[in-house]
Amino acid sequence: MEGNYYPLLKWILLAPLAGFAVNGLLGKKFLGEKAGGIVGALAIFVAFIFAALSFSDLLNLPVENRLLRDTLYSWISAGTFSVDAAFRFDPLSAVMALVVTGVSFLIHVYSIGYMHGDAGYNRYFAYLNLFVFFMLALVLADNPLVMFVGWEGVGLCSYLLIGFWYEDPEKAAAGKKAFITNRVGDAGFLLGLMLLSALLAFNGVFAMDFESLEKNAPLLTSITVLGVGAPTLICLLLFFGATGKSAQFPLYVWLPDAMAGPTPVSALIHAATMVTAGVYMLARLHFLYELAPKALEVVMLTGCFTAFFAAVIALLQKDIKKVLAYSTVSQLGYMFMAAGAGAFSASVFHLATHAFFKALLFLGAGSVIHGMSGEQDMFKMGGLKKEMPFTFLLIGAGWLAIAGVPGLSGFYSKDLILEKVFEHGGTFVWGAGVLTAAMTAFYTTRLFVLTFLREKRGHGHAHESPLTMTLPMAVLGVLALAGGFLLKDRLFVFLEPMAEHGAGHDPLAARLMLISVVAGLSGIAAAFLLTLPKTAAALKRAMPRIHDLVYHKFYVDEIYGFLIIKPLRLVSDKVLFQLVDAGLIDGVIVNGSANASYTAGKALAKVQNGRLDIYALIFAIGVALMLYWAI
Amino acid sequence: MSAYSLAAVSFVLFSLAAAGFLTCGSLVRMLMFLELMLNAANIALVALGPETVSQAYAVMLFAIAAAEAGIGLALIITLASAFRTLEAENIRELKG
Repeated sequence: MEGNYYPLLKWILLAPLAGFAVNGLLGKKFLGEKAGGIVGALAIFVAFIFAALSFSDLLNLPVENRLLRDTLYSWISAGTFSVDAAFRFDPLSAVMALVVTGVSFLIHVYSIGYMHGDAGYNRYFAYLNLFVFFMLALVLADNPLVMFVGWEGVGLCSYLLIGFWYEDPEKAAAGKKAFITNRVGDAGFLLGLMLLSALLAFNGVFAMDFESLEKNAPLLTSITVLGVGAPTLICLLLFFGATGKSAQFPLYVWLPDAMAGPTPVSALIHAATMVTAGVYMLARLHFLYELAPKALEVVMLTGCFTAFFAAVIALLQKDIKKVLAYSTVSQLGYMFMAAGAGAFSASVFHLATHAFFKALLFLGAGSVIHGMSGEQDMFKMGGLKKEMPFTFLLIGAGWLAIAGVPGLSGFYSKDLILEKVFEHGGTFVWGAGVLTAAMTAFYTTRLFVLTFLREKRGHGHAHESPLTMTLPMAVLGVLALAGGFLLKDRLFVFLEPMAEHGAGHDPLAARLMLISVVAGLSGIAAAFLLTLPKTAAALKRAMPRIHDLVYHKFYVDEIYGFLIIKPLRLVSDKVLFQLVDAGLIDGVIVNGSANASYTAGKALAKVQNGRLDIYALIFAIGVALMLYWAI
Repeated sequence: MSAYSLAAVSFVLFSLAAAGFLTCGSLVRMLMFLELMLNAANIALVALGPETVSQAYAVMLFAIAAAEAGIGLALIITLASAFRTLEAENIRELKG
């Protein structure tokens, strides 16, 4: 293990941290806009270079020993329990680190153009660098505790960046909502971690790094907690954390609101990287989940439901970013579906391709919004094909990739997931997945058609975005088109060198693939047909109830508001605030003690009336009493 | 006179002086009662203590009493010129 010590690893993390420090401390005063943006992007580029170097060194290692480690210092040391601030670079974290730094770098470059002229320019890049630092800490962590630090850190940066324009109370509220919703999930994650370490310590295992966790996880199988097997309970708690961070039902509600942040942030944090942390966590702890088939089933069904549910909501959204937000929720559902079916590599594959095409779509949407001077309603766009030719082509690439057109990246990963789900989850889950694929094709086509094709509905002239924005998009476009094809076999050999690959495609798989392709294409066709104003209006008239329900996102926010937030507010206000805080703490403890000493002082002040003879009398009485008690 | 009767004299003298100190209103009188209390203590010292040592103490106490009387009188003169009265109940500068 010592032989794998690799000091280069820390620089992957330190570069973005340095970028954060420089931009955060010196940015506004000394760097200004131009240098600040360059420093921000450069920091990520350095991280990317180091990640690529580590990656090539990793490839040079023998297949069965592909692991690089770097320990910074001993972080926690309490008796027999000790945790190091340690990082590891194995195939899984290598893929994640490359995706994170690569996509982040492109988005940083894009942001240089997008955020041009914003008052908080340097603050923006500082936050973005800090985010990348925490995200890398999350994916490179060698034990769940360091991972948790990254987990919380990306949540913090997400909050800071959603509420980046904090002068707008609505945006600040969106940031708060994301943070609080994530806290709910994080509580589950933390409980899972505590349970894991406590039960392992109970069995005499104090090491927390992933390697010894994997070795010792089977010890847990014989333990039951509250009538449930320990691995199942731990996995469910950790998965609850993942539903918060990765926006799965029931905690997905924050992600659509998170679109209040700047669009590159949506692309980076809320599409490509942070929201995939849950998927990564599952893949990282796959040995634990494999001990808990029940938990895996829950993961798969949750993912399936979320994918379907979010896709239905995305069908009727007006706001271009909201469509993409619900699409992200839905695609994340796919990843969890794959993880739940035990196909962790497939979920990581989809994670990577999704990072490419969804980041591309978000950046494209940002380019459109930028070009339309802040307009986000798709019904006020239309006909932008001529005015924004580059964006048109690039979003077109992203659209075809996500819709699952054969040969493009979305097709490979989605098809693989559906195949695995069919093997492990049965026809029902698979059917829901195929339906979701059709709907995905539908809403992305709808987005594309409403934005770029047909007649122009908006007023004012749109303009094409600058090169700093279109260039990163072009790179992502290439990745979205070709990434799936390039990665499809290599990634699996890299991630699971021991497993056998390319086992003969059975005819069933080919048939399944055909069905999902047909579903995707029919979704595209349906979207072209149904977005015609006449048919859309007819459909709306035919089913007003359903339209209303879907349009209002199934009233989930309202239901949560009524069932959870309102009672919580009531209890907080009446019991916690008025009774405990204002009544008990302020009233009795703070003001009460002050009042008591004030009253006592007032009574005692009467004694000190300034008359010498009275003083002498009291003194004499005191002496008499002392004599009386002494004798 | 036996030591006990001397102690009794001292006790009676002290009690009378203390009662006088507490009841009279004038600062001059209070000072005089204070001196009486000191003298009562002196008698008790001579009566109850060992022969030579207590007498030496008694002489020292005379000196202390004289010094105290001097300081007290000086204070009283200052107070008299400042407040134009020597009744204790009229001087309330110590009021808290």
